[in-house]
Amino acid sequence: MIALKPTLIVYQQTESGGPRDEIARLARDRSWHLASWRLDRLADVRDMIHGVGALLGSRGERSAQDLLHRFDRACAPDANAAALGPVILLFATDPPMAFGPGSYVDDLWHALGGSNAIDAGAYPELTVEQMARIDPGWVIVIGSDQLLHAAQRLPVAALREGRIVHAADPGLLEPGAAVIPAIESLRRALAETVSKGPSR
Amino acid sequence: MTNPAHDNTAPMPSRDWSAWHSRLGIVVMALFFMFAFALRLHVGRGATGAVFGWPHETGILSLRLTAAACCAIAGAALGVSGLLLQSLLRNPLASPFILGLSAGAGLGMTAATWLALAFPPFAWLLMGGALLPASVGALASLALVVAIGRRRGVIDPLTLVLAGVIVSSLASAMTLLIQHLLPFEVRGRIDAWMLGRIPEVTPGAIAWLAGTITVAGVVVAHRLGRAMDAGALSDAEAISVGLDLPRLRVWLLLVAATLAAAATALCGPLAFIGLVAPHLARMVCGARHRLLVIGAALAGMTLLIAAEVVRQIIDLGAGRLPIGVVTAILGSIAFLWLLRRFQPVQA
Repeated sequence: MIALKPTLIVYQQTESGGPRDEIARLARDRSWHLASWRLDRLADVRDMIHGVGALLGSRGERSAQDLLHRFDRACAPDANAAALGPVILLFATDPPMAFGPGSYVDDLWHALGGSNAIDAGAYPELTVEQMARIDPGWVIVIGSDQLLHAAQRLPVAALREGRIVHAADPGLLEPGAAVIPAIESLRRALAETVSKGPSR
Repeated sequence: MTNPAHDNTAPMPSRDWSAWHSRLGIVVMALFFMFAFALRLHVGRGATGAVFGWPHETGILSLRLTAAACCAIAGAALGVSGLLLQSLLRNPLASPFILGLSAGAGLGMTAATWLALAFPPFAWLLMGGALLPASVGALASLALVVAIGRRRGVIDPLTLVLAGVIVSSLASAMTLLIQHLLPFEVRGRIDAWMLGRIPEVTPGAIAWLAGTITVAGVVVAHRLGRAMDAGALSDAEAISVGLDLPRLRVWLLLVAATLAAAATALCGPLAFIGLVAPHLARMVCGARHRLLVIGAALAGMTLLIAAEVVRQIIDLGAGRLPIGVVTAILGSIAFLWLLRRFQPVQA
């Protein structure tokens, strides 16, 4: 880091209480500008876009404003999300794991007007039996085509009957500005799926 | 007070009584296994926690049966594998972990995941889940252990253990290195597999293959029982009664490795079952290996199903305990109890 001679460090915290001591000390000793955000919720992403824009001068601010407008449009309630009823937001199949309350994707889903069938735990590991008993109206599979194919093999009514929305954009899995095109792509997938109905 | 098990002056039980006692032990173990299997069919997970009772809903029984059957297959394979290794190495602490089989299986799985991601034509490696990479990894690490552990062309138990430690450390280091190269979101998947898994849904071919390997392994181990009894003597004594010791050691190693590979491919690396099951079997069935093989299989099956039932019942709020953690906790408690119960009394 010292060899790179940065003037600004944008730090994404993974723990509470600000940047790690050694980063803060380095920045202080060398007069680097240090800005840090912890991205747990959609509102944190919004604050980060606004803050980074402010750090980059008037041009940066304009870009940030454009991004924020796009972000707000992407996160606006979507009738298609509400129409699906309680869903499981699945991101792994072996073992099945889903996004629950307290996770960033659950936050996004609620912003879109959707409802989550999982009511406890941010990233709970489920059993297939648990999924079958929850019997969600639809399953949103967030991940690769390989994950989608694995999910389709699980003996859960929604998956067997093709009530699946596939969100393939990896931007959904990591909080940041890249979530904007990912949410736009999810909205497109929702519109397409809901208009067509179950795939089987 | 003297422990009768170590009192040379105590009258020896008659052969008939001993055989009857061992067979009764097998029956008791079989009853425990059937109870555990039935219990697993009556315990599952609902939307908000554990649910108890016979599943009347469509498809739920099949999920529970698959989980119980996978536990039975992997438990039997690990129990018998541990028994064969303890007999081969004449070391009561031997288990599939000690020869680097589990670490090798983990390396195989991690390497296959990396290959499939970096070079998509290799995606077929993971088509059967962990079966192919874990088996290849376990058997390759065994080959390396045997290559290092031979002295003058003969398998030496002590060198074999040391070779196992070396290969295990090497495989673990390689696994960490490859994990470091994997994308962040994939590492979680590997970590989850390394903590063990009990599948509720598994391709039929994989379950049948693992089941067939396990049954064949148990049958071969049972047939080797008398030879293992003779092999428990010193090398000189075993050879004097006509035992082909080098040949026996090769067989024991091959069967133990194949069984451990089948169990790991089906359920991931599971600690302590291979270590504790043979000790439980010895406690109930005595020292004859033909009965011990059956006892170790029953003990392994019962332990793993019991661990799976515990895992279904305990709710951490955000998911369940990994099965590998449950087997380690239950196994260490059982092992501590065995150690305290059968510790030789010092003069």
